[in-house]
Amino acid sequence: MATRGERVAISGASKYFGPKAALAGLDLQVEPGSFVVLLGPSGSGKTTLLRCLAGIERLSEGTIAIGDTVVAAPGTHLPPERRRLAMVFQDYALWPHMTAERNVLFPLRQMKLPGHEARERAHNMLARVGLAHLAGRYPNELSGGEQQRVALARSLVGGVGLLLFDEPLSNLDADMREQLRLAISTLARDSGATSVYITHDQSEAFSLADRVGVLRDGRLVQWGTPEELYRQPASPFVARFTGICTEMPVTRAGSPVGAPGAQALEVRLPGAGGAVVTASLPRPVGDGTALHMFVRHSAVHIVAPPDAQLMAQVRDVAFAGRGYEHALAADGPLLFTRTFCEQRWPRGASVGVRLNPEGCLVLPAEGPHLGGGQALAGNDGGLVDLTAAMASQLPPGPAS
Amino acid sequence: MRAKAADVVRHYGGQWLVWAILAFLVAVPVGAFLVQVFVPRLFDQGTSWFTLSNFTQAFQGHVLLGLFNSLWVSTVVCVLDLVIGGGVAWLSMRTNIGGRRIWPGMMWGLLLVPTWLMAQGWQYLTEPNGVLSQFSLYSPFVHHVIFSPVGVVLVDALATAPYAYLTLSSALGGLGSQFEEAVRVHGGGRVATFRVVVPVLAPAVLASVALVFVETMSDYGVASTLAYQSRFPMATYGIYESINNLPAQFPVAGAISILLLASAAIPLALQSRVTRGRSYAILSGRTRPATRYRLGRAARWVLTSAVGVFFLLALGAPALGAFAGSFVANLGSPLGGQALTLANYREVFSGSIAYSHSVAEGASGTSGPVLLSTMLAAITATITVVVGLAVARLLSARRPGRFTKAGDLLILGSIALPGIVLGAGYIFAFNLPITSHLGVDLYETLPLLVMGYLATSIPTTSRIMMGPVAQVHGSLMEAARVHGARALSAVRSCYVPVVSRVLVLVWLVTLTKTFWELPISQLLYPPGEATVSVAIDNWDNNYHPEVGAAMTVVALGACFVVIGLVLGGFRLLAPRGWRRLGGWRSVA
Repeated sequence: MATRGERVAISGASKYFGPKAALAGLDLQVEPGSFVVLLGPSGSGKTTLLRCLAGIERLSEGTIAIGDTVVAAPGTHLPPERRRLAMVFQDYALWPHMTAERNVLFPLRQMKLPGHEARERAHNMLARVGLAHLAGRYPNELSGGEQQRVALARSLVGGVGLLLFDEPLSNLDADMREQLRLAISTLARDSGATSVYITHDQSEAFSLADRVGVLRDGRLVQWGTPEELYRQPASPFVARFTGICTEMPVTRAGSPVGAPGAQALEVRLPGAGGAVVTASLPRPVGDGTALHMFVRHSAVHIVAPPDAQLMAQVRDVAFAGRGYEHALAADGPLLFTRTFCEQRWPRGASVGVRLNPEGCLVLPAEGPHLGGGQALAGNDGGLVDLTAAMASQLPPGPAS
Repeated sequence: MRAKAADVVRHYGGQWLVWAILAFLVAVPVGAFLVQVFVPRLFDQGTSWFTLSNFTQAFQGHVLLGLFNSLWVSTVVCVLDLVIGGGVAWLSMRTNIGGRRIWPGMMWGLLLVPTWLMAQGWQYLTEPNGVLSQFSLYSPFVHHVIFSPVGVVLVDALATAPYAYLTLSSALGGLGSQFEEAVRVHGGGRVATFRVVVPVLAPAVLASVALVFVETMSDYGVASTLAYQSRFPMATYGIYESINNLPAQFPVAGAISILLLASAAIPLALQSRVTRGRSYAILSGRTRPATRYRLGRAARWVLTSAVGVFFLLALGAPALGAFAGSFVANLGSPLGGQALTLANYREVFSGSIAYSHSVAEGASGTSGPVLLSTMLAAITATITVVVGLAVARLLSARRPGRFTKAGDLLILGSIALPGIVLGAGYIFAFNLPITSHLGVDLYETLPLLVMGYLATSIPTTSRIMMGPVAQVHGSLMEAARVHGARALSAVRSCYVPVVSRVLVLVWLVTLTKTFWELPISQLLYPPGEATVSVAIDNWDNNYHPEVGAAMTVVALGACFVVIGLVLGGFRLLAPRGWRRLGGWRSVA
């Protein structure tokens, strides 16, 4: 039942709510059959963009084309039911007066499919999401995960060319999220449709997407594969939003080495007698530019003191299944959160720290520190202010 | 810029029509009626371009006495209802009193009983040669008490107790036990607990006071029946008299209306002043249901009986009065005998007795009023539900605009508007020469009466429906559109079923309220086409209350039949999925 995915072309899309621009001239091209995730904090415009794509909201300016059809342009607004798409909603949006089966039948009835054929397709789709045995239940008789699987079946059953996902996992618990993430990833790709998925969760975005678009203030600030975003963030905002354990101002201690885009640079960490470490330089920077270093969790390693670049004190330790996550405070003041080590280091212990250059990203400093705590909601970056305060209370001693 | 302008038009365009309808139904006629008090010449009601002299007339004699009476009666009723409504609320929400599952439903039932019907039931019961005298239980003392300001206060208090009950019971229900537990674990006894909890309930108490005060001030039912029979003038009846005079004194009626509206603003302003800038939020996700006090056996029996007596007085006594009175010949007349008769029912159905012109006019055809009221109420309820649903959706919009807020104010103002003022405004506005010049000849027609009904029912219904409508997430409709349904189809298949039970219940409430509506009916009914309330009132005022009682029983029966048919039909015909959603709780 594979479908041909639709190409989506968005050009100069703007949407105003009163004086506020929720979308500010956004451009985006989505290849047919690809799975695209739009990542951004609340207020970044991702929901508005999805609703404009669906036709629920009207664009104020710009155009949207789905396949060969211009669905939104100045003076043109194709209503949702004529855009040949389907959508999975954050709150499931199952009709409470219909059984699971009737919810899934709905799109087929709108397509005027013969009754027996529609029922067979609905049944098959419910079976594919593992809910054939619950077809006769009403939404309130299903768990949250089951309801969202019904919603997924409803979106897939019509065989449309474009699937929209509005943070479908955000109301589910951790176990259910993983199961449903897998179901969405496989079933959406199997369907052949183009998928546009929005979320504020970076790990969800990276695990689902062929390509990720990062949105901020109604604009697309970076577009690339998950690997590109992680290794070569275009800005401190993207670096922070894609997960860091700490950030700090640094000074040059050498000249860039290597080919542009994959350069390395020696930098000096803040604090008296600051250590010099090697970091990655995702994009060239001018000589006089103030620099910031963003450290990924995976870049921080606890090592024996002889191999250490700097010394730190264990402020906290948490069991994390395969090992332990430590919060390490160092002179600067610096605080590295969620530093993984298979061995448990006790609170107050002095440990050596080594930073992997690939996970230390040097970018031009941008605006005030942590511009917008809201932007970092649900992300480790939100901890930095708090942990910096913790680090500043370090007793004199083990730090270098 | 053009795109932005287009957005604004699209966003607000749908609202214009709804607000225009409301403005036409309420704001324009009532506004004109009130403005003519100050600018009588504008409407050919006097020679002055600006005057306050109409207030001088309202501040003297009979009219002033009416205003004074209304004020003190409303104040006493507020206090009584705090005790009665608050007591029943506390007992049914916070104790193990018997019948606590029944009392809330009874309160809702009581809310549907028009005050004039209750007052007349008491009249039938206690008047000389009334129902009690048929059983040799007549007491001159009881008669004098009921046909006095005490009786007026009693009936008003019984009739408006549900408003106090509903505001206080929701607050008491939401008030978890944590406040009381916090006092107790920190060393406070029962008195300290009471002193802590009562201020937490302050907004509900004030809301209750405001609501009961406004309802009593604006009530016309008791004022035109029991109070009128007791020679006890009240403000709302003063408006009616001013218009019914020859020549009609619209400026004086308008002045009384303004004073009535201004007095209603007093408790509302007090409520706003006390609660401004303070948070009384008591409901949260962590609120645990309060534990119920376990009453002792004797206390439980006594208090259950007390609540039972309240409902007996509020519902039982008037019902008995009307039912038993309908079988008495010449009820309340010195000619009245002990004989029981069915002649009153024959009169209801045949209309053979020719009484005075006004009675014949009010009751000709005589089962006609029941059918007419049923038809008008059904039309009103249907239009109200459709428009009310649209208004409720606009008011509970995710992004309310300026028009929404203005509309909400208009709705709130309309709810607070007494029916008698609205009716007077209609008579005034639709009787003006300019209205006729504009080709709007609706005066003394049934469409105007229905418009009056709509003007009172749409605002209330819209507010009632806001709660259930706000609970329906917008994504249900969006999901329907995204999955291929056109706008109307989405409303029909994915929205209406979700709110269907609420719509049916609201339809029935509107039907019942309209069926028994008195002040607007009395002012606007076309000659020869009396509604149920007008016909019953005419029979009573023309010394044939026994026929009025019989018509009350017939009309009650008709009302129950319609309610039964609709509820039964919904139960039998609506798909299972529709029936399991919503319901009265979501409205309440």
